[in-house]
Amino acid sequence: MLRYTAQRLLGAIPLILGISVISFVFMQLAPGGPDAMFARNGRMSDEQLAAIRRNMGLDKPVPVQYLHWLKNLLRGDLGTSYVQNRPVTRIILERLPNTLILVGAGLGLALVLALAFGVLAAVRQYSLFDHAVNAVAFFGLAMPVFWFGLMLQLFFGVRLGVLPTAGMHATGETGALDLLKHLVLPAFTLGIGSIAGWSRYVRSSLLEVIHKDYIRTARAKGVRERVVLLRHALRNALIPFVTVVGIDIPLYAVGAVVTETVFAWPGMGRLFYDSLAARDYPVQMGILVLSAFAIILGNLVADLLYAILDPRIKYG
Amino acid sequence: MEGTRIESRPSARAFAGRDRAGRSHARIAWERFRRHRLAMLGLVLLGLLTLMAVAAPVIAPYGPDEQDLFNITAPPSRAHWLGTDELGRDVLTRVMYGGRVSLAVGLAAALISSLLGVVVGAVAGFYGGWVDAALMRFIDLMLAFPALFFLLVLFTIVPASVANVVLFLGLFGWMWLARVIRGEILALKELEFIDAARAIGASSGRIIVQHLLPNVVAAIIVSTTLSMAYNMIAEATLDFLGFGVPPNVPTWGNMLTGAANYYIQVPLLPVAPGAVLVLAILAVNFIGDGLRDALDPFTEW
Amino acid sequence: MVAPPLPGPDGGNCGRRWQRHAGGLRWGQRGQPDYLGWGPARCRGTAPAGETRQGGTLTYVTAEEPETLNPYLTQLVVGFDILSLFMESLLEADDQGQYGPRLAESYEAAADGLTYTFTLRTGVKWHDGSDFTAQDVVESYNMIMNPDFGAFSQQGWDKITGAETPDDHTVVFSLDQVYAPFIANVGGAYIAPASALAKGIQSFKEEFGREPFGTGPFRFVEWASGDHITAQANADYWQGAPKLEQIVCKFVPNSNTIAVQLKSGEADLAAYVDAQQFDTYQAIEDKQVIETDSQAWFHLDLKNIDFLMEKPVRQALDFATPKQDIIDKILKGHATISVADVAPISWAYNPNIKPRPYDLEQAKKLLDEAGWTPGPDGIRQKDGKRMQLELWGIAGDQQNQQILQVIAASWKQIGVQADLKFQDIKTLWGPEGYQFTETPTACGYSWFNGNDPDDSFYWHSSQIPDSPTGSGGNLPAYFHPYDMQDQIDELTERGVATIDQEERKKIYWQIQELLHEYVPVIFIYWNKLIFVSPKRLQGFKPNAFTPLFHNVHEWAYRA
Repeated sequence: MLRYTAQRLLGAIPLILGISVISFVFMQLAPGGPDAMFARNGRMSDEQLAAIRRNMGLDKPVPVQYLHWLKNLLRGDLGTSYVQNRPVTRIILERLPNTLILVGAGLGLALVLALAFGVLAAVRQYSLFDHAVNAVAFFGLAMPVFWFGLMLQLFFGVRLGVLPTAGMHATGETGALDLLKHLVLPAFTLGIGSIAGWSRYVRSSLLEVIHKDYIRTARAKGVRERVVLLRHALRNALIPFVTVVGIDIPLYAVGAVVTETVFAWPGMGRLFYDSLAARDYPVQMGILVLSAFAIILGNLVADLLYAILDPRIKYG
Repeated sequence: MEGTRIESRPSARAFAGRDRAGRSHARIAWERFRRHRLAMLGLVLLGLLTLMAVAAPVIAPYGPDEQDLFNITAPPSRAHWLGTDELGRDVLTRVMYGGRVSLAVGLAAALISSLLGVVVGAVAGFYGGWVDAALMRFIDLMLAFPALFFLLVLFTIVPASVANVVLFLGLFGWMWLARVIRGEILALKELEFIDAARAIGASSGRIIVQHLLPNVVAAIIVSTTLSMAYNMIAEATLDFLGFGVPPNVPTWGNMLTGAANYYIQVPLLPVAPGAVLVLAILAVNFIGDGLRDALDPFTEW
Repeated sequence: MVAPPLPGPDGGNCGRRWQRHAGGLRWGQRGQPDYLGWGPARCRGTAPAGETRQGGTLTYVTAEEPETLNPYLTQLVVGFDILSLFMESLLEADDQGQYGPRLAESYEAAADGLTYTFTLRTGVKWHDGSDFTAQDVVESYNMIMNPDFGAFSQQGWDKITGAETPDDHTVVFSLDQVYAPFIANVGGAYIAPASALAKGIQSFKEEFGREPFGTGPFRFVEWASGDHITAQANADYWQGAPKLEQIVCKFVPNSNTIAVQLKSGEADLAAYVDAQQFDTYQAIEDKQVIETDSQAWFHLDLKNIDFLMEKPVRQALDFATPKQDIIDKILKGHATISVADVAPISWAYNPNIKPRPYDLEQAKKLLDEAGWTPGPDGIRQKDGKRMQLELWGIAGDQQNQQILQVIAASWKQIGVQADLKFQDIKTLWGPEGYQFTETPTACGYSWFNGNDPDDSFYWHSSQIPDSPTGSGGNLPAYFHPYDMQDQIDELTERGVATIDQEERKKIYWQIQELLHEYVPVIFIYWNKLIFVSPKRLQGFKPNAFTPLFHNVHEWAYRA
C-alpha cells in the first residue's frame, strides 16, 4: 500500500511538471508577453520599465525564467503578484481556507443528500419519491450553476429576505452561526450538480447490488432488512461511488469560480477570475499548478479509498 | 496477488466487454429506445427546438438584431409574444436564433471530442506498447488540467469567437471517451476475428476502421450525446463569465447573461432563454439515457 | 521583442480610461488625482442640518477590490477612494474643482511659475503617533521618483529639479519649466509617512500596500482578502474626531448582488452605479440616490486610417450617432450630451459649441458628396471599397455593449457596416488591441479627465505610440497623424506653458472648437456619477473632483 502510494506520488511529478511548463508557455503567449501590462501604462518612464523588468527577472530568457520559477516553486515560493506586489503564496493562502470551507460544505451537503435520496429512491423503487428524485436530478443536471445561484439569490435573498446573498459574514459579525447562514446558498449552488448526479448513481448501483445473490442469501438467512441494506448492500454499492466522487471533485474547483463570483465568496476561484482580468500571471500560474496538484491528489485518495473499501483489491 | 492495477474507472468500465451493438443490433436498439418514454420525449423536444432554430430566418417575426429602443424590456404582447429584451429586441426571435448557436456549439464540440477520443483511444489500444504508454500519460496530463481554468486563460489569449469556443471545448472533452475506447479495443483485439483479418492481410488502419470501431459505436454515440449536454452548459457558463462567444451573438447563454443584469427589475426576462436552455439540455440528457439503456442494457450509470 | 515605450509625456494631464466591469470601474491610465484651481479656498461643509448622533457603522459596497492600497501603485478608482479614509494630500479640490488647503495650510507659486512653496500644517500626527513634517513630503517625492519602486505615475513630480526644506513645515519645489498642471498633480497626491518609506522599497510595496496608514480621519484596522476592509474612527484626527465609528468596505463583484445587498440592508453605500439601475435604487425605501456630474466622457475612437481619415465621413458618422436617444433610452437620461473633451463643470468649458443633431439625411448627403454611394448590398462604396469597419467595445460591460449595438444599427441606415467586437479591457488596450490593426475601427469607451483641462495626453503628436507596446494616449493617430495635428500640438503646448487661467481658458476654447470641427473621435456623452446612500446619512457630498471619502469626518447618522 505504502509502495503504491509512493509510486503514484512519484508518477504525479511529471504531470505537475508538464502542467507547469504548459502554463508557463501560455503566459508567454499572452498578447505582448507577460510584461505588456507594465509597458502599456502610458505614464511609465523607460527607466522605470527597465527597472521593473530587471527586478522581476523578465529581462532574462524564457527558459531561465521558467527554471527560476520552478526552483522557487520547490521552496513553496510562487513568485510575486504583478498587481498586488506581494508573494503569491501568501495571497493564495489567505483565500484557500475560504474555498475549502465552501467546497467542504458543498461536498458534505451533496454527499448527505445524494446518499439519502439515492438510498430512499432505491428502496422505494418506482414510488412517488423515486420519481420525484429522478425529476429533480434531471433538472439539477440541466441547470447551469450560475443560473441556479442567481435564482436562489433572487428567491431567498430578495423575495423572502431570509438568507444573506453575498460574502462570508455580515458587517461586524464573526460567529459560526453567521458563517453558516452565509454558507447555505453558495454551498447548495455548488452542490446541486453532484446531488443530482450522485443520487441517481447511488440509486442505480444500490439497485444493482440488491438483486445480487449474496443479498438474497443474507435475506434468506433472516438478517434484518435494515442491516441487509446498510451493511451488505450499501457498502458494496458505495465502492464504485467513492471513485466517482473522486473524479467529480475537480468539478468543484470549476463550480467554485462561478459560485464565488455570484455570491461574492472570498475564495480562490474569485481570486483566479480577478487575476484573469488583471493579467496577473504569477497568480494565475500559482492557482493552475495548485489545482492540478489537488486534482491529482484527489484521484489518488479516491483510488486508495477504493482499495480500502474493496477487499478484493490489493496493492503490492 | 501481485499488483492489480485499476486501469479503467468503474464508469469507464460500463462499456467494456459487454453487449456489442453492431449494425445487426441497430433494430433491436431502436425498439428498446422507442419504449423509453423519456427518451422519446427528449427526441421530440430536441427535434422541435432544432426545427425552430433551423427555420429561424423564415419563421422568426423579427430580425435577430432588430431593436426597438422605445420598447425596452416590454412584457409579452401581441407584437412581441415573449416581450423584448434590454435592447428592445424581440425575445422570441432571439430565442430562435440563439438555438442555432447554442445547439450547434454543443453538437460541434461534442463531435470534435468524440473524434479525438476515438482516434486517440483506438490508436493507443490497437498499437499498445510505447504508443499506448505515451498516449495514456498524455491523457493523465489532460485530466489533471483544471479544464475551466485553462479555458479561461486561453480566452484571454485568443478571441472567444464561436469557432474558438467550439474548438477548445472539444479539445478539453475527449479524454474519458479515449480511455473507454482504448479499453474496448484492448479487449477486442485479442479476439479471433481480428487474428483472422490480420491473417488475410488487412492493414492496421483497415482493421481499426472496419472491424474494431463498429463494435464501439454504442460507447461513441452515448458519449457524444452526454458531452453535447455538458458543452451546452459549459458554453453558457463561459458566456456568463464574460469569456464566451461575443455578447452580441444571440446564444441562450448570452441572453441569460444579458437578462441576469435585469433580473431584479424584470424577473420575467430570463425565463424564456433559461427555459429553452434547460429544456434542450434535459432533452439531450433524456436521449442519452435512452440510448444508453437501448444500446447497453447492463450499464451501471 | 518588446520595444521600449516612449519616454513619459512631457506635458499634460493624465487621461484615464473609465472602465466598468461588472459594475466597477477602473482608470486604465492612472495618474494622481489632479486638483486644480487658483484663488482662495472656498468654505466647505458647514454644520449639517438636523440632529446627528455619534457612532455607527457604515458599510460601503463596491464591485472591485483594490489590488493594493499603496498610494503610488494602485491603478483603481476604488483604491484611491478607500485611501481617502486613511491618507491625505497637501491640497484638496472642493466641489467646484477649486483647490483648498489640506495638509498644507497654504502654498505660493512664484510669478515665473518655476518655484512652489508649501507651508505645512503643524500639530498633525500620523496614525503611528509621529509628527507630520516636511521630511514626509520630500521622502514621498524621493520614493515616487525612484525607478526601482515603479510608481504608477510620476506626472508632475518629474518636473521637479530641486526639493528643499528650509524648516520642518516648509517645502520648496523648484521646476525647470512652467507646468500648469503641477498643483493638480503634486498637490493632489497622497503623502506617505517617512517612517514607512524608510523601511525600504520592498516593505513599502508589500506591507504598507496591505496595511496603509496616514494622517486621515480613519485608521486602518484589517483587510480580509476578497471580503472587506475595516476602518476605525481616528479620535485624534486634526479636524476633530469623525462622527461615524466604523466604515467597512465590502467587495461584491456582481452588480446584481450589490443591488440585493443595498435592498436587504446588508450594505449602506454604493458609488458609481449603472445609470440603468437608477430607478431600482430609487425605489429602496431607506436609501437615497445622489447624482453628480463627472469628468468622464464616453466617445468612439475613430482610428485615423482609410476612409476614416476623410473629414466629411467622420462628420457624417457624427450626424448618424443618436446621442440623445442613447442618453434617454439606454441611460434613462442620466448623462449629458458632449461636444468635446472639456466637461461642462470645468472652468475651461466652451459653452458656445452645439452638438451636431441626429440627422441621417445630412449624414447621407455628406457621404454622397464625398463620393461614397450605396452599393448593391446597401453598403456604401467608393472605387470598389466598401464602407465597412469594426466597432469594438468592452466585454462584460452591458451598458457599453448596448450603446454600441444601437450605434451599429443606426450607421447601417446610412449604409455603413459596423461589425461589433467585444474584448476584455487588458486585451482591448494591449499590444494586440484594435489600435494596431490596419482595419478601419471605432472603439467606444470613456476617458476620465483630471481636474486640469490639459489634454495633450489625448491629442498631442508626442502621445502617439511608436509601437504597439509604446506608450501614449493618442492611439487613433497611430497610423497617420490627424489632419489638424499641427494646430492641436501648438495649442496643447501653449496650454500648459502658462499659469494665467484666463489665457489658458482661451486656448482650451479653441481646442474644443477644433475637436468639434474635425471629429477626431465621436463625442457622445458625459457620464453622471450615481451614488446610493442611506437616507439618514448626513454630510455625504460627493463630487467629480475628489475621492469618495474626502469629507468623511463630517458624515453622521441622523439621531
